[in-house]
Order: sequence, then structure tokens, then C-alpha cells
Amino acid sequence: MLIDFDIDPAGVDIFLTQAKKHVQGLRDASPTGDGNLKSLADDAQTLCDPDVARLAHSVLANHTGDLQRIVGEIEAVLGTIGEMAAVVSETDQCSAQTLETTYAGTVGSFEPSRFASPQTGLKPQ
Amino acid sequence: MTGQLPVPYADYTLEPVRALLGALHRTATGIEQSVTRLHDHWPTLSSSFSGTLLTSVPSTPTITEKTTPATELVAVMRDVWDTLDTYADDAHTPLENLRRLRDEAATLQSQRPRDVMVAPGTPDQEVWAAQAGYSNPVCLPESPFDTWNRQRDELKAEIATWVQAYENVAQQCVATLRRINSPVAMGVWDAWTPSEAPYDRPMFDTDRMHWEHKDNKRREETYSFEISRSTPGDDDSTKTAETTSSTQAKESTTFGINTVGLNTSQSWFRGHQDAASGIFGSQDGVHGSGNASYQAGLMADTGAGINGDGANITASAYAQAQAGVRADVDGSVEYGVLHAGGSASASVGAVAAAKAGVTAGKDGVSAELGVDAMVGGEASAELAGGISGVSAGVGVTGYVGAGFGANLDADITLDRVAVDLDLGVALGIGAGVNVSFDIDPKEVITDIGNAFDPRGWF
Repeated sequence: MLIDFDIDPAGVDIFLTQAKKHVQGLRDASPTGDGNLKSLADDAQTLCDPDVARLAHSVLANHTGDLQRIVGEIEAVLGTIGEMAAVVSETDQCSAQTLETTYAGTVGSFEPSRFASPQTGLKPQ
Repeated sequence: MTGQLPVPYADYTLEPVRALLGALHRTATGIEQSVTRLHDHWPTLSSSFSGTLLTSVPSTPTITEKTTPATELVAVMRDVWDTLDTYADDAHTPLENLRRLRDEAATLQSQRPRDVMVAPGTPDQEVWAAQAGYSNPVCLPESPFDTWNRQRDELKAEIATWVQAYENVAQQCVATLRRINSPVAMGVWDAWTPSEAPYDRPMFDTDRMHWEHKDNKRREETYSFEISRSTPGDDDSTKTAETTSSTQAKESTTFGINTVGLNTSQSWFRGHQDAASGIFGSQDGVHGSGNASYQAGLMADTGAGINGDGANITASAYAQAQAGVRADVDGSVEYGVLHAGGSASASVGAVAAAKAGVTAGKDGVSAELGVDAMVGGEASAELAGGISGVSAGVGVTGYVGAGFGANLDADITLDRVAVDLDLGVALGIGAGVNVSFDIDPKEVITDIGNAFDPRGWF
């Protein structure tokens, strides 16, 4: 079997759009909205008791970049999915075109409905 | 010593703590909600993106793998939030009282009696009235300075009480934050027990003021450590100096982590003392009075450490428990003009200690383990033969388990002085101490009376 995968480019777009929205929510969760948690560590330094302030700051300072790193990694995953979708879609279409040519030459008729996307109506070129 | 009383921590406010708590809660909740939404949304990918070729792509990670660090981050933030919330709740009352006492100290200072110059022989009442600020003589029961100094002492005592209350709260908060900050290192402590046994520690603090039915508990916790870490293969030019330093350290250590030293110790003390007294008999016949008292102390020390000397890393831990009881009974018997008195005392103590150590390095791994225990007791009586009604027992048991506990049951009346101590220390390697004590003061006093019964003199 030459082609055993399928894709819905529009469905992937919808998925990615929504997923990016949630990732933005993750970034917005930080006090400054940029995924940086440094302000929490800075706030800890304002506590009146110096020992409590020092240790609270120390704990939080160890995690100031965690959220940004997490957001970055999830965005990288989403980027990979987007690239894969584009590649698969392109490969899918090329394969369909090849098959269409082959079938047209041998059978004389071909209906590439398999490659049509119900959401977009995308047809092989 | 006439300046205004200092009131530590009175200027501390909890507003910054509350603000940080709010920020922590909002941030943690926001992260949690976003992670949940991502998890809920992720399965929808399969409806538009499928096929064996796609699922075989190795660079497709699962969302769970990517959000696990976020979940761990939220857990840390929740731990910090819980710790600071407890601190804010518990510190509120001590700080509120310290602020009140600061105001009261200022008021008291403003009411300090005047220093006045008087002619020799001036009556006290006139001097006191002048010191108190009265222009005419008034009747004062005592010197205004005596009154003022007493009020000042009372205020000072109350300040000390609330200062201690606050410091206990802050100390607990700091200890918890340390554990959050270094969970691995602190986990070592939690799993370990006692070491160098300070057998010369006094079992009882005889200089302490007498108090009844008070539970005196003191806990100290100190930690200190220093760890430097090497980062092999780090090409970042900005970290060159650090890498060089770490490489040098690595050459002299075993595991690439230069453990300079990490040590901690804890001590725990609980003391009880109580007393009872009474009279018996009638004035026409044999009569007398008796006093009985006991002191009971439990002391435990634990500690552990990791120390590196270049080639080896040594981890050691120790635990020691001491328990002791001392009881005193004295009585007097009178008959007419004759008087006789006597006393009896007894003490029992026990010490149990355990230690363990592991050394790892170029020469291999070696370990040592030891458990020691010793017990002792003595009883004495003065001016009385055949003192009865005193019994004591002590036992030491070793066991392996986890946890730390102590129970003290004490009962004191003129009929009975009974103390039962059960102290267990089990942090990996454990030893338990049990001390029991039972004295019948009446019987002791009766023996004193029998030994000096004036009726037997004729």
C-alpha cells in the first residue's frame, strides 16, 4: 500500500489555533503575562521577615524561567504538528496526482474522492 | 535602664505576604487551568491527523510529557503558598500583640515618674507625690518608681512571650521552605538519626524556676550546606569560569558534584515538674506535713551530615535520647514540742544512642553502625531508715522503625508520685527508652514518723 495516512488540513488548523490559545493562557498565567515568574521571586523579597523572605525568594527564583521553557516546548510541539500537517498534505496531494495519472493511463477513469477533504473541499490538482 | 522597652518584630506587617499569596494562587490556578484545557483539547488532534506513518514519526511527543513540568511547578507553588499561608495565619496574633505592646511601652515610658531633688529628711509621701507629679502631698502606697518598674517588668515579660511565639512561627516557616528548596538534601535528614552522643548533658535543669503542670518544649533546627556542581561539556563562553572551577573540583571528587558539606542537627527537649504538699494528723496528737515533687526530662538529639574530603564522601547520622526522672519527698512529724524531719530522693536516667555512617570513594564503600544504651539509678534517704514506698524501673529497647514520639504520664499527689516516661527515637535506626517511677509520699513520711516516733523514746 503506497498511502496509508490521511489528513484534514482544516481540522489541524482548528486544532492548532485552539491549542495556541491555551498555550497563550499558560503564558498569561504569569503575573507579568509573558511567562516569566521573576516578579513572584521579587515579591518574596519584600516580606518583612528577612529569613522567610530569603528562603521564599530562593525557592521561587529557582523556577522563574520554568513557565517560559514549558511554553516554548509546547509551542515547538505545535510547530512540529503544523509542519507535519503541511508536509503530509503536500505528499498526499502529490501521491494522489501520481495515482491519478497512473490510473488515467491504465484504467481510463479515476475518482480521487479519497483525497477530498469534506471540510475544505480540497481536491488534488 | 530607663529607655523605652524594645519590641522586636512590632514593625512587621503581613501585607506583603498576603500579596504574594494572591499572586501565587492566581499564577498556579492559571497554569493548572491552561494545562487542563490543553489536555482536554489534545485528543481532538486524532480526528484530523492520523495514519500509521504519522504515528511513527518519532518527534511527536505527547502533551503529558510536555506539561508534567508545569504540574510540578504548580506543586512547588502550592507548597510555598501553604507554607506562607500558615505563617501568615499563625504570625498574625503574635505580631498584633507586639504592635499593641509597642504602643503600651511608649505610653509607659511617657508615664515614667520624675526624678526630683529633695532635702534630706523629706517624708517619703512628699517625695513620692513629687515623683508622681502631684503638687500637693497625696497618699501613695509605694514609691511611683516601684509601681512603674513593676509595670515595666510585666510588660517586658509579655513582650518576651509574644516574641517567642512569633519566632516559633517564623522558624517553622523557614524550616518548611528549606525542605521545599532542597527536597533531596532534606530527605536525607528525614531518613537519618543521631550521632555523637553528648552524655555529659545535664538530665535536669535544676536552676529552672518551679512551675506546675507546664510542658516546656524547645525545638531547634539548623541546617547548613554548600554544594557546587560541574557541567561537563558546557560550551557556553559565559560559563567558562564556572566550568573551569567545577572541572577542578571534579578532579578531586568522586561524583562530579563537589559536596563541601551538608550538615544538620535537631534537638528536642521536654521537661515536666510538679509538686504537691499537705498536712496530716491533728494538733492534739501526732501531726506533720509533707512535700513531694518530681522532675522529668526527655531530651533527644539527632543529626546527619554529608561531607566530602576530596576523594571520599562520608554520610553519617546519629540519634540520641535521654530520659530521666527525679523525685523528692520530705516530711516532718511533730508531737508536742518534739519535731523530726526527713527526706528521700531518687533518680533514674537512661540514655540510648545510635549512629550510622557510610563512606564512599575511590577506595570503595565502607559502613559502620552502632547502638549504645546505658541506664542508671540511685535512691537515697536521710534521717530515715527503712524508707519504703519507693520503686523505680528503667528499660532500654532497640528497634527499627520510623518516627519520633514521647509520652509522659505523670500523677502527683500526697498519695502517689508516679511518672511513666516512654521515649522513642527511630529515624532509620532507633532506640527506645522507658522509665517508670512510683513513690508513695505518705508511706515515706510514715516511715520518717516511725523512725522518730517520740512515743518510742520513752
